[in-house]
Amino acid sequence: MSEMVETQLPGEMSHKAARLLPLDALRGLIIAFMALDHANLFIAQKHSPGEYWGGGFPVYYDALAFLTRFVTHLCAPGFFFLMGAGMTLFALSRRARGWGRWAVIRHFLVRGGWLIAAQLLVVNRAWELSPGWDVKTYIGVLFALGGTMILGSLLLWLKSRYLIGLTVILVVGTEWLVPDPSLWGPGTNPLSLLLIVPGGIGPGGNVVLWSNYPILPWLELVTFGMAFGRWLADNPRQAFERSLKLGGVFLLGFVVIRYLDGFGNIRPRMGNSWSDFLNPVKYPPSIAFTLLTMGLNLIVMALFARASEAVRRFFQPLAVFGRTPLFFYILHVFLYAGLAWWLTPNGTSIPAMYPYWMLGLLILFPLSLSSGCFKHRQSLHAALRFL
Amino acid sequence: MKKKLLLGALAGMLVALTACAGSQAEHGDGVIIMTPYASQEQGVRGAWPDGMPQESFLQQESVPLPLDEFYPLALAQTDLVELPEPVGSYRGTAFTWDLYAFETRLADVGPETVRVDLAVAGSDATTYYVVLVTRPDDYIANAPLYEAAFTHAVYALAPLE
Repeated sequence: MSEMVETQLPGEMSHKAARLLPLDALRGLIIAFMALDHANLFIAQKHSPGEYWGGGFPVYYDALAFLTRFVTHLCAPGFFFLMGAGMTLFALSRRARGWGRWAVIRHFLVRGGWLIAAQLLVVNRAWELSPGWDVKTYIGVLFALGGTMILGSLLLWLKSRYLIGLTVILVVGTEWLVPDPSLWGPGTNPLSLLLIVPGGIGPGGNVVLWSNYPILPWLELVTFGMAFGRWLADNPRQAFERSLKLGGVFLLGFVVIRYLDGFGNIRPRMGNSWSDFLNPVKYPPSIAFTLLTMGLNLIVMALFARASEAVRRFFQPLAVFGRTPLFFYILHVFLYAGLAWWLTPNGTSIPAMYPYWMLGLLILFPLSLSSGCFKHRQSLHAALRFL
Repeated sequence: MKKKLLLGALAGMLVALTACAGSQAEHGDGVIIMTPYASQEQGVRGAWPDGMPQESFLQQESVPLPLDEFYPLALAQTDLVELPEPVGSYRGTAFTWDLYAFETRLADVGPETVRVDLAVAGSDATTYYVVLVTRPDDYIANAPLYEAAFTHAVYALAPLE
């Protein structure tokens, strides 16, 4: 996916040395989780619908079903955040090599456009293979990553404090702009679906347009990532220490907001079990959802950064996935759709789905490794580096 | 060489495991969708479970009776001489519910024994209840499903504000 901005520090460091392993490893980890989510969709056919600001809401009746979905909640926020961080580092790196601001912006405009095109022309063909799919045009995560990349490129030169301020405005604004859950139903305004409120439009049950990822609610994570990218460029050690502390504060904030069950949740909890507590509204990301998932992401990233060299060797395979996210993304949706069509046309239980998920990762690992090597042999301006 | 062998063995194990996992669909696990609703007629709001098995039914209502008049009416639907003690209580959005679980024959259902999960709460002259009726065997086979549907329906049922 487009989290697909290379993680590079500015300056004269080599490609390999310049990479920030904790970012790539986190991206790789959430890519593996994302593959689990899509294996659940295609292979098991037990992916939860719902999780929206209105309408039906999923409740889980065993811990495995819930946890299989829960870990994958880290993915989308992590991707947007890492893309923001990568954009800042990329911009600083290219500026140090003599690129002008406009050249950097133009790069992201083209790259964002590619992501949107990939969503509409390529990835949506894979979603059409999932059971019960009846959507003409789907606005998914690649669309929003592309859209937020385009908007974010115009904000790259803001100071960190302004980026953080904008992040807060977007976080609170999302909560305010979402309609009351009782108003859930077919929408009428395509622009609203693309920019603000998830949902769909279409007459008589024919869904012409369905949007899970309108751009503005996810921009908050890109601007936060861009600010984090600046902290990283200034002092990586301090940035990772800060991420650990911020992660703790975010989780604490989540517990308070979730317990109060009011502002910050978009809609009340569906129950009072532990899984209901940990199951906030994702579409659009409620404040509770953002705090929970980003709290965990920041802590995991900080732990990756603190790991000794010996331990880091164990998460190098994750970084392999993390360095070719768009390549992995496009390939994995077709791979799991193909495995499901061939081996599990009627679905499986959730436990039986896990080996298929692992098999998919095993197939994709050498391909991602080769793709990563190929990508870094390309020149700085080559379009193939977008992979 | 050792590394390649190890990776090869792991890959082989994974392929074998995948094959053993089988492709038999099991629909008794996963997720159930609770859809919020509001009934002006009943004066309540709550959440309905979608995808309940046909052999079972879930009912949630308010009746304009105080608790002490509701219980005899409920008991009259069963073959019990008295309602058993509550098996527990449950705190929902609006009430703390008394929970009952028993097996009985129901007048409206027929001669076979059914499992009844009943949640009751009262407010002034109104009684609120949620009842889940299943075949006992079905309940045992799908207990997590029923618990999810029943407890979430109980949690959500509340008077309209």
